[in-house]
Amino acid sequence: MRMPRCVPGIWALLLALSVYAVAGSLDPKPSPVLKAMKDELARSMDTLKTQPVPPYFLSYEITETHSLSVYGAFGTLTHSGESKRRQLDIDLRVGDYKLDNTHSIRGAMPGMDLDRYFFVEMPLTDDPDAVRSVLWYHTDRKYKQGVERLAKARADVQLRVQEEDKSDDFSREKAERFVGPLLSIKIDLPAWEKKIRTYTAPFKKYGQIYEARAGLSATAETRWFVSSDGSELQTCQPNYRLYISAYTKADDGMELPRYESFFAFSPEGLPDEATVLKTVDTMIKDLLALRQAPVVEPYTGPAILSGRASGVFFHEIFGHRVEGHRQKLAEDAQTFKKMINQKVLPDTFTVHFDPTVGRMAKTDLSGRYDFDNQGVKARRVTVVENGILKEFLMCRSPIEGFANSNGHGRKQVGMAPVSRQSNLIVQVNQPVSHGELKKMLAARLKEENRPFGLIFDDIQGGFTMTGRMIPNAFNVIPVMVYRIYPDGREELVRGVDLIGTPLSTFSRIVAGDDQADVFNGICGAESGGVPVAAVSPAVLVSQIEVQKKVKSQDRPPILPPPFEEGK
Amino acid sequence: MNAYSTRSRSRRTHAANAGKKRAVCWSIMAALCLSVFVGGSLLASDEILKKAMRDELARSVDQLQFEQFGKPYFVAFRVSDTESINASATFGSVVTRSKNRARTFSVEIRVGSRALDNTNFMGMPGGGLRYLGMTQLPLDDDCTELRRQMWLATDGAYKQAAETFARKRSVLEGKIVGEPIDDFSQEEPAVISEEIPAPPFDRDQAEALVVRLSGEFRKFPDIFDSQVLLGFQTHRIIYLNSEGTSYVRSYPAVHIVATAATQAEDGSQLADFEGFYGRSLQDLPSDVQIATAVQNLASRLTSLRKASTLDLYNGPVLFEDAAAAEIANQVLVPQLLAIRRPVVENPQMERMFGGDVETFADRIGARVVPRFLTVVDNPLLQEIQGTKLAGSYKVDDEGVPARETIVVSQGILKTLLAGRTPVRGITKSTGNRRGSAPSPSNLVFTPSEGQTREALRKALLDAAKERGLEYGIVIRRIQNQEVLQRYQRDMSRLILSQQGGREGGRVYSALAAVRLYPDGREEPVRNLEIANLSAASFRDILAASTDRTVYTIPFAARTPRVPWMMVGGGDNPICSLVVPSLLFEEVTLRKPAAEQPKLPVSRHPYFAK
Repeated sequence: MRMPRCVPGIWALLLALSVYAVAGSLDPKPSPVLKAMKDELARSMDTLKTQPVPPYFLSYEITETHSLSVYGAFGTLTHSGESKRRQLDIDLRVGDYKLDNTHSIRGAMPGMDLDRYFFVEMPLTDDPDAVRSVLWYHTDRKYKQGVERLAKARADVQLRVQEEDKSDDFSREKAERFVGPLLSIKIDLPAWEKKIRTYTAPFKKYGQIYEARAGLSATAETRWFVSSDGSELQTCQPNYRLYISAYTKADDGMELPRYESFFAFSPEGLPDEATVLKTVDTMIKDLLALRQAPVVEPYTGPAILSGRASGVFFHEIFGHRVEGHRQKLAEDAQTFKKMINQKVLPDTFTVHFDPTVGRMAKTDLSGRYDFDNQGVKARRVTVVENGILKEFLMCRSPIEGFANSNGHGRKQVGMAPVSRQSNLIVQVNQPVSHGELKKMLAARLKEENRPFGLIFDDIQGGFTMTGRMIPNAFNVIPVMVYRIYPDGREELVRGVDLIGTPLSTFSRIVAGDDQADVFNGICGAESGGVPVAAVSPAVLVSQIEVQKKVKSQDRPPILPPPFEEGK
Repeated sequence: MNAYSTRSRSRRTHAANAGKKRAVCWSIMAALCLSVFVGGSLLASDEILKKAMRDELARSVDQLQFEQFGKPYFVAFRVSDTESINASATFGSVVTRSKNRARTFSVEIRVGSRALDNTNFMGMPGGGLRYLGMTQLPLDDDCTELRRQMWLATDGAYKQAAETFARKRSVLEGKIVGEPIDDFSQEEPAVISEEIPAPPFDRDQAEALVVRLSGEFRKFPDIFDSQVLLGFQTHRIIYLNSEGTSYVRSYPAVHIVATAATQAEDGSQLADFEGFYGRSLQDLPSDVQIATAVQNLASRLTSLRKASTLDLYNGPVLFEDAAAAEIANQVLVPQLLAIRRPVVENPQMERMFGGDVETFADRIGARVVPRFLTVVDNPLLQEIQGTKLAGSYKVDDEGVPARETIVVSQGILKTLLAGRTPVRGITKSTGNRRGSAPSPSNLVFTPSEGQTREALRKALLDAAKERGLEYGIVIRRIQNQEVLQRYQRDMSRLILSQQGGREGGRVYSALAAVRLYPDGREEPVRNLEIANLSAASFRDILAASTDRTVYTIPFAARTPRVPWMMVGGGDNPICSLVVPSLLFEEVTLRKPAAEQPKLPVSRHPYFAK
């Protein structure tokens, strides 16, 4: 079962500067690490070519993650520290572009293909001797694994029925050379310790709020990539995330969370203290209101999804289904495989994935990058144009009709890359105002004689299933849901998830408004967690379905909070 | 104003408060201000923490109750404040460096009675998973917030205990229980303080040492992979239970471990380690001595590459020095622990995660080793033969005072090392609960009729001759997969190296050995699988040496544990084994059956230049 899942995201940002605010030196120099990688790669290809089964492709990627982080809870500090690590990824391919050791083996136990996972720490210094000794040792191991797996893949091709998609295993791509500046993160740790205490302190007086945390993480991710194609890349991307999370429990045991987060490429991009404290106030008000909110029963009817809710909705029901490699895997449902040049959305909708854009709707977008994890230059991909499906998100694994990557081969360190989303951008050609959208909803309620519709305002995340073994459904987990009555009255409710199946849901998207909103988050799938963003206007859906939320059976605490005892 | 008088004053203030039912943190804060002035921030932390623990524990014991379930009959709170500095290096370059501080709160709750409670049960966990009786505490000394976390964790732990107890009772409903054994032992309350001050620790200097040590491998072209790790921790544990037992235990700990791997010319994997453990860097051998040990590790593996192999050997085997300690560690010592077989909800679960519960419980009074051997566990011992021991403590994790325990007296098994969980025949703790299970501390084997090294080798040759063998086998290194995996930090290797025995039983493997010929000639052999060796084999030991090896390692008890119970399992306790060389009458050694990976295609880049 493949279950891409998106964890709570990061959004709503106010005072950011541009992506390039943190400038490095004007004349960026390649790190000695890059040279060590290049030298060892050349030597490996040279010595391994004498073998009976020589590699036809080899790439090294070293990712340095330098982080400063501060966490706190209820006005106190729980962690403050710094960490730095460098991790290695090796893509070594034996066989040829047509059939190599990465070929999907049908009938293999999913998740048991250990070649997909690789966790190797690299030296933190640039000492070429130390770097090369680790590269050598692991290249050799990868090579042996590769030869063994190639034999298995060849046997699989001979033994089983012909594959539906006979495309190659690997695409030929242009070599890229780029040396970007090495940037460092700059934050005042003691000042942030104070801020994190301040941001979580307002929760202190509420005994019914069982968790109230905040965290800042400032990370500079530096990547060095070399390949036998001749690619040589050095990129560096600092980013800053601030999150605040809290939860309460209703008397019936239901856990009610609220989550807020902010993402920026520079520390100045994070909101000021007053703004954060205002957000905290809203969170507290929402939590207390949620405890009293009525539970909604399963329901179908029209609904409005806010920009961020709609972003997650598109990410789940649509985004995961246009990831190219899924059109190839025998166990995948391949919803859109045969729908290229067919209508999948209303004429007014266009959907792009654009890793080259760093900022929209006054918010930095966390799905931005210059090159993907296979060394392919990032580019904008228009997946749906005026409602017509045009293209898939491609990594270097070709599929029928799409022989090349479009710069979406992504992964978490240690995993094998597959095609993944970047910044999803939903555009509506003839938008209506938000007020108009609500009027359209009200009109439908009257027309269909329904007692109420729903507004999904804030969302925690979602997940979807794209396999064939189980129904191809999606689930979006809302946090703030309102019932909207025909007279326009709104009422906060709780206890439901938004569910559905992809094709029938697409056909019910009716209209979008004229305001774009951003959801920044981490998307999880078989190649690990990758930062993504979803930008969308609010949309009206003619019919959605909600089901009961998973509910904790634990009662609220037996004893009153220590500080309320005796009151 | 001197520090002492201020401290005693603040202590009086607390004593006065302790009698009151409600927590009044403000008065404590006032008292604390005094102690802060005299520089005892640790004292300040302690007093606020202790006060928070005391008040919340009292409230939990008095009031915590679901309608139909009883109040807990036992509650224990533990706060563990750990600061750790870690560094690792390979080939003369730093790979990881970190510094962390964490304050963890854990709570143990027992409902029911000593005779039958919620513990010793293996089943699906009761209640939600949000609180498993463990939580992170704020690093700030904020009494209200410390108590909030204690309150929530205790609430979760109580609900889970109540639900688990109900489940356990329902499983027992349908079963005939033989002779019932209590779930929890009765112990005398104790108040103990064991505070070993942390020595100054220079992080930069320690990192430089690790870098230097890992650089030693630049002299050894045949070592394919190596690393050196250093960890320094200061632990401070504050424990309080509802029986009136409390302790404060603070101690520093340091370790340096070097690992190295290569392959023999036939592809066989050769991996080994050298570890040094102590309270402080000053306790460890000198930098030069450690560097020499690292070099020895590298040269030992290098020369093993060319050693021969052995198809099959049945006959006497001498386990020399560290090899004797390691074989005792892997085969005999786990049987000397009182590990209870839990009530099992689902028999499949027991098959998967059952651990080593078939200990020597029913062998008490029987002879388990030769009459000339006595085995004593003694956490109070600080050193032996001039060597510092690393398994020392004054109080165990459950607050039971440390004591000397004679486990085996002149060959006869007297008792097992136990925590407060009784097993058949053992109703009291021996003060050996360390981490999640009873574990040895300093376990000392003493032979009454020890032999010299030479005499032992002669005895081996005599026994071999008697069997008509040309030579006898001396084993020098036993592989400790657990330690290697722990320190090698290579996930892929960790997953791939799980291997079982051909007969289903445990297989031990000897990395390095020699064929010893009557003329004294030694011929190195490597990669031997030790088959059919069990704790029962220790009965038939022929002889032991007078000389003993002090062997210190993290001890991994094989307890029945399902994965979700491993939360907070923590580090394996460090234990020192003092073991003589041991001559076994009959051991089967053979070549491992597994296929071997090929040798590296190219040479190490540093040495290929």
